[in-house]
Amino acid sequence: MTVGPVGYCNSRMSSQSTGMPKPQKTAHRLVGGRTYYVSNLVAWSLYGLLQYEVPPEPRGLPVAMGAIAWCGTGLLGTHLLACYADRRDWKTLSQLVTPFVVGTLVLSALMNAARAAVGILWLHEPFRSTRGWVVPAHYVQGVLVLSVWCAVVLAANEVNHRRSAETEALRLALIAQTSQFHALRSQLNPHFLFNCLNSLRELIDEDRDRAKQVIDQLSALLRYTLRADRVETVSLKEELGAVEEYLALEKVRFEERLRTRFDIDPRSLEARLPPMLLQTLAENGVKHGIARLPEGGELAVVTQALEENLRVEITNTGKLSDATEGSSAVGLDNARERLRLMYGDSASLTLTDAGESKVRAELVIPLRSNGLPS
Amino acid sequence: MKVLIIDDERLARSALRRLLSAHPEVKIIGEAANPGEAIRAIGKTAPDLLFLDVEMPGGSGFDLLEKVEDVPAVIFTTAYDEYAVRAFEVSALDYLVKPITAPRLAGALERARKALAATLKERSNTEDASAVHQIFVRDGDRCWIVRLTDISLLESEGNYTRLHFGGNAPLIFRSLTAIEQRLSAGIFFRANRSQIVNLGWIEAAENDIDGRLSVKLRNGKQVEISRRQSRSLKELLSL
Repeated sequence: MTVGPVGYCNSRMSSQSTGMPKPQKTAHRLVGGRTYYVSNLVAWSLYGLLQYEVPPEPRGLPVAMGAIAWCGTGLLGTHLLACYADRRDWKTLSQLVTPFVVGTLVLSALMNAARAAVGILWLHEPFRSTRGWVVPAHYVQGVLVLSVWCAVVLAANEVNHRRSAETEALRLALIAQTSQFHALRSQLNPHFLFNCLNSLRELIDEDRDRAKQVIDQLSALLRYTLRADRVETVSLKEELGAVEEYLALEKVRFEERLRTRFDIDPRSLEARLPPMLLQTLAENGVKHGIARLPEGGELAVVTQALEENLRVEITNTGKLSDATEGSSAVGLDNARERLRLMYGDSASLTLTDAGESKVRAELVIPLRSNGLPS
Repeated sequence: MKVLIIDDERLARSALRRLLSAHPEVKIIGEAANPGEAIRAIGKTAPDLLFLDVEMPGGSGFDLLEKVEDVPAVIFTTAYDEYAVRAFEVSALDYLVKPITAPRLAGALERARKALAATLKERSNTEDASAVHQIFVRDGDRCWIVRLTDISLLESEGNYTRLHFGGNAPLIFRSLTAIEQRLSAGIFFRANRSQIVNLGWIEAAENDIDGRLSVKLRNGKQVEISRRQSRSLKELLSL
């Protein structure tokens, strides 16, 4: 797992809108979690009990104290070793092997020494009877026990590592998809807004009632685009309302040059689709088709509810070559990507030459779908 | 000041007309809704100043200017930011973003007034008034409105011609011969098969050994004159 790209990704995401999954640190450590503390305590306690029960010597305080010293040192030592590894940010097997080997060798000696110390200093046993600070057989036992500890911790670490890498990958994929989705969401074109305001400015002098009507329509459309930011899908009826509003506003600017026709299947009105999708297609038709023709042209919207799909056709006067270049192509690609993210392969958007210098955008969306895949 | 308004939107034209009515010195001599109408109106009325919409059906404002023989002063109007930047590169007088505000319009008109006064003065000082004509030059995404007097040298490069003016040397898709027909003979001189020089830019001329002339332009360029043309140039420069 590399930290660089993740950090970059997070910082970029955080500047975006609120619907993002919160970036969070998923770094795993050796020490931490109830499992670590409980299993360590239980294991070392059981081992201590074994130390007390197994030896042939008569049981009693000296043996118990020795077992506690032995296992206590082991528990404390391994914990400190794990903490140190965490602090140095050692995570991989290759990073951990050396400190663990060194730790095992040193710690076993310390465990020996601790037991001896308890005997000598506390129980005032004669030094000789303890057979020195380090007993070779005990040392080997300590090394074996600590090796088991190391093996278990390393195995657990490996499992955690894999799991968190997987979680991280999933999280990043989710962030990428969400941000993509937000970026693809089309907003009202600022050029359209400025043109609209420009016409409105003159209309105030020329026809006040018409100007008021334009303000109402523009407000309704703006409100719709704001709402489009918060919902995944809208009904076709709502979207068509926005398209009608949009076209009415463009008619203020283009006057008799823009003619519109709607042929709506009433059964299709409740179908769900991503907001602003038809508006984008209508805007493409106006901007790259009708606006380029001195005599203007017609924009027709036809909807149909098929057995399993909603089908919408937006046909405008113009040239296919104009509709597939530059900003129009970008808009179409974005719309397609949006559909792919929401419906996979079951939705489509195609642009064709419909003859008689007409361009047709055809949209097919499955009728039964809950929008974004969970 | 004779003004022509070119915009495809009726409301935009009447908005500008209304704003201009506050300036009594401005006389609106016409309106055009597309490049075709505009070219006819420019030819017929010879306006001093164009208010030109950048985006129009049937060709952009730039396409229009390329077809105009003598380009008047131009103020671009646009609702588009990207074109506003381009219009600035065009060395237009000014550009106005829509909706146009009264103070911005007043500023643009002030610039136009100064520029027109300067042109008038220049025109009265020059024998051949056509020398102060302006042409529109486009090379890829860069455009210029350039006075003929500022062009020092024109060089043929196949079907293209390279113009030299003010540190720029754009290549335009027009043969040197085609351009020559539009140039005024009193100012420009055919130096050889592939070069035309601006007589006003010649700083020095010297005789080569074989009787041919070699001229040095004010911008340091050296141009060899062909044998046949050397004779007529000597007459012209009365050497």
